[in-house]
Amino acid sequence: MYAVQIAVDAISLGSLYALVALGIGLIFGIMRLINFAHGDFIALGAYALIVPSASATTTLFVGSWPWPLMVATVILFVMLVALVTERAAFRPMRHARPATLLIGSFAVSFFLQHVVLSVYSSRPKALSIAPGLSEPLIVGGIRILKLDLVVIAVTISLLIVLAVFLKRTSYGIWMRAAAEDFRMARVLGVRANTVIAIAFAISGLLAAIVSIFVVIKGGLLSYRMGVPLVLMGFVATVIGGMGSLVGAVIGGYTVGMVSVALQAVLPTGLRDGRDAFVFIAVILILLWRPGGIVQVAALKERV
Amino acid sequence: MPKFLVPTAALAAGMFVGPALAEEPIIIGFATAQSGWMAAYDEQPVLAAQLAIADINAKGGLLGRPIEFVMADTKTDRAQGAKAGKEVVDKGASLVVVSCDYDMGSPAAFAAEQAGVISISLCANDPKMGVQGVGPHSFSWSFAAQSGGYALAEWAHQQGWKTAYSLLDTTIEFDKSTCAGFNSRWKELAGEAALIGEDTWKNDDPSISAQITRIQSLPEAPDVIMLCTYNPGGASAIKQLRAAGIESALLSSQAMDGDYWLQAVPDLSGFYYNGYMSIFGDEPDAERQALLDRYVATYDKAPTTSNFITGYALIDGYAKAVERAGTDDPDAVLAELNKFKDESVIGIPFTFTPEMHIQLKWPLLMLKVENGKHEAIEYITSTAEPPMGLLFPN
Amino acid sequence: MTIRRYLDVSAPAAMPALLIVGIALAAHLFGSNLLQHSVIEMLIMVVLVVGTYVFVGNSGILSFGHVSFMAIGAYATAWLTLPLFLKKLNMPGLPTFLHEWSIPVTPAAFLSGLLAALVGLVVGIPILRLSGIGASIATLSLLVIVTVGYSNWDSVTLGTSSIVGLPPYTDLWVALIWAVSGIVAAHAYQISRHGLLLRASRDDEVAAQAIGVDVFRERLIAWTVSAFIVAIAGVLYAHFLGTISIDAFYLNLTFISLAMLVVGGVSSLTGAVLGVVIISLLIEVLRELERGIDVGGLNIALPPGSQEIAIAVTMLLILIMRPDGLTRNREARWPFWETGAPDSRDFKGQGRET
Repeated sequence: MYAVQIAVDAISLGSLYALVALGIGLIFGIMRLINFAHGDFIALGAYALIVPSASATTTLFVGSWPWPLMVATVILFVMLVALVTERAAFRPMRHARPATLLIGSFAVSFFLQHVVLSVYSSRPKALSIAPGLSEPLIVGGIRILKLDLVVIAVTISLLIVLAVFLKRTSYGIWMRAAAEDFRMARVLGVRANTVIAIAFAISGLLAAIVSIFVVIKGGLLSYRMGVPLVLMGFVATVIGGMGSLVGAVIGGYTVGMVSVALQAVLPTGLRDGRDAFVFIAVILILLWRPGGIVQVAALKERV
Repeated sequence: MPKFLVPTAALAAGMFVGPALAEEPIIIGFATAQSGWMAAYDEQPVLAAQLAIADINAKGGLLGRPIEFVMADTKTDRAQGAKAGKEVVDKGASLVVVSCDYDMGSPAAFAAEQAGVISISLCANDPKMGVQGVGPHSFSWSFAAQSGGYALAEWAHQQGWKTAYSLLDTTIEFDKSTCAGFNSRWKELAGEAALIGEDTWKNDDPSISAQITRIQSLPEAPDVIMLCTYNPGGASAIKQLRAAGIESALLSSQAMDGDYWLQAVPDLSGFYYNGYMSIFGDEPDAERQALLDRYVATYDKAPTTSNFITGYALIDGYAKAVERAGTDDPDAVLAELNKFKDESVIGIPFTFTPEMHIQLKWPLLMLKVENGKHEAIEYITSTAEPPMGLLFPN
Repeated sequence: MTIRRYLDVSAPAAMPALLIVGIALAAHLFGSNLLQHSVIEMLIMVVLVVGTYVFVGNSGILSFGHVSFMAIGAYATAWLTLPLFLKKLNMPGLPTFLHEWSIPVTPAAFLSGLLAALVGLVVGIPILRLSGIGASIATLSLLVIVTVGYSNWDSVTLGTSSIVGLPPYTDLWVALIWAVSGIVAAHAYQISRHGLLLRASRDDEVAAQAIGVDVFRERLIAWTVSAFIVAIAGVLYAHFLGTISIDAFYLNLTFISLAMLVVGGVSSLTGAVLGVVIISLLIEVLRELERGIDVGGLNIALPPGSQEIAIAVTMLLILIMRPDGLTRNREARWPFWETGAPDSRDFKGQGRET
């Protein structure tokens, strides 16, 4: 019973990390850019729900609207942020080496965090959205939060929609081509700007959804709330397999489940070191499968 | 423009209206955070301290001399903190006020120590902000976190609760010390078996489902869950605990003070914690309520948490020591501070010895949140002091 | 190498070294105490970034874990140099000989560096088996593991609490000597056979293996040397502030050091030093503006917190305009000196993907 409950907790956390990993993996696959600002997209989506103010008590703004409107607005807002970031910061650097892109994304992240800090102050902001979803369903002795069910359902639906988009629509096919071999794709007529913009837009969509889930679950915003998520998402993308979206999802679930399993299983003395054990597991996974769990053939170095 | 520059300009103007203009001023340096994440927590105790300075100047100054203050921003950065400490010492400060946190305040405190100047932290709860950590000229104008844990354990025991569960957020030292104090004292009062379990988590973990599952798989729900944490993780944890259907009483420390986080857990009930006083209008002690009113009147806004009063108490207590010493020379003032025995500063008894520069007993106000509203319950002071082995566990 | 030859190729070390010597002299002669404080900070960052560069610049693998060697160095020097009564009181888990024995900082620095190099050797063996981004993630794992480990090793590191009381040692000249030594050491490495072989593997891993380069071994050597140098930065930092805490050695420091390296030019020693100098200068100027300067009777001050925003924007602009860094990944050359001798630039002029 305990084991089943832990399994449910694990799948739920895994879904959250999978969504984050997907957002990061999408851009990484196409541009070789590790977007550290993804965590701050998530944070901005959350902060969009309240009135910009440094006062300690929060006033709901978008957060008080009926939920379809609220969700749509947050999604559009984060998509906009993502697109503006791409246009202003990443497009001028597009042909730079990965190290430069990485530091560029860190600079963007640093910038966004400090803008939020200046406007809202460092005191965490509290709010309550969709409290009904935080209630548990008790099914045969197992406690499942309604929110967890929604997260899992939304993750799976998004994956299906994304898969259909990538396989069936022309934009999707362009994106897959670009992810495999960007230069070749351009030679064949794929418009780089369009593909990258779509990637950022979808990434923004995913970030917005994660931010809403995080807010419903935890109820608090802080200017650095995106950092642990982007870190885990980054790790998940790499161990899942770079360039592969399925890999990113698998990586996300792996990291989430290992994390919860360790929390449940480690004895009290070692439990504080949980994150260390998670990262030891990461090194072991990489040693076993250096290219990630799902290897993408086109990314293997050709001699 | 730092928010408090406007009112401090007003205070500064007020300073020069007082008598004894020609006397050499006593300089107090504030090496605290005006930017970065620590700023939100330093701001209000610093404002209260400046209010105390204005009050003293209005009465003719200290030893007949006006008090001037200088500020240096630590920017929530250790290297900047050390620099800020040096800066105010160079400007002639005989007292350096440092941040409300041992890790962030110790660089400036150490810089002051090396110059032989007294440093006092606004409200760090770490005993190491003192002789054993920074050095003999270093103080913290608050109580040890372990003592806070002691007080909470005694109060919990008085409520008739029989079983407790300890949930520790291991991110910062303060919470580890609070839970160490609580666990130890609880077991002394209620018996070894009365602490039915312990678990840990990290403040920025997105989910504590695994920890909740562990609690719910206990044979019996605990009467009270001791939450050693701070925000945002603290409110997040409370939200998740209540959402999962855990009805036990929840107990926490002054890190959870303030009502700004309540919106995350609407209609919260059964939450108890200790504060320095009540900022919700129902403060039992008249002197402290008056201080709150004056703060609100001076700065046109209410404090977010009750620890602002330590800033006022700090300046008041320092002034007492200076008056007794007859000079602001750090070693002379240090000698007087070390003689403090139940010295009443804004109604709180302060005791220092050459070995202990933080309080081991403090009148704490227990408050509760019932139906989403704060209510003051009663003042308690712990009856025992934590042993040295608990204060300096390493 | 003859003296003449060494002088020919020494520009990449000598020019940055002269730059920082010049800055230190200027600060000493004309600068206030506080300015000197900032220059010492800058010199410590030079040691950190140059140390990181020895691995990252020569191998082409981005490392997020070097700051953990700085932490190892900082705590090691604490164990070796703190006053005995503090160690007895706060760190019961230390071996008894450390409770009875403290040494001056200079020998402690070497020992701390050796400890970090040893740890680097041990952890490098699994980590450096990986390549590319996998190796980078592995170095990130190292950072987390060291941070979590030290945060919980209470009896020896005081856990999440600060250690206060490290004897002062890092003044302007000490920091300068170590910084120049670091530059010289990094340069000596990169013109050595090991450095050249590693750079070959950076530019084309498969081709290098084809000519017999043991890529894993060369990476391990660079990693170990770099760990030593970075640990020295930790020692200098610890004896500068007098206090250390494990949370200082985590993501923020990692990113600011990598940013300084990349902005300067990730494959160039000159770039490493220049990146530190330029960004440190910018930060200092912005901080002064935040403090407020008097311009013709008016006091102009930026709002607090604008320094961080401005530095982020500036770094981004520099990277957009010079994606290969300020030095365009080239090394410094003696002006007006026709050398005719091979220098330490790689043949293609601009490094390949890092």
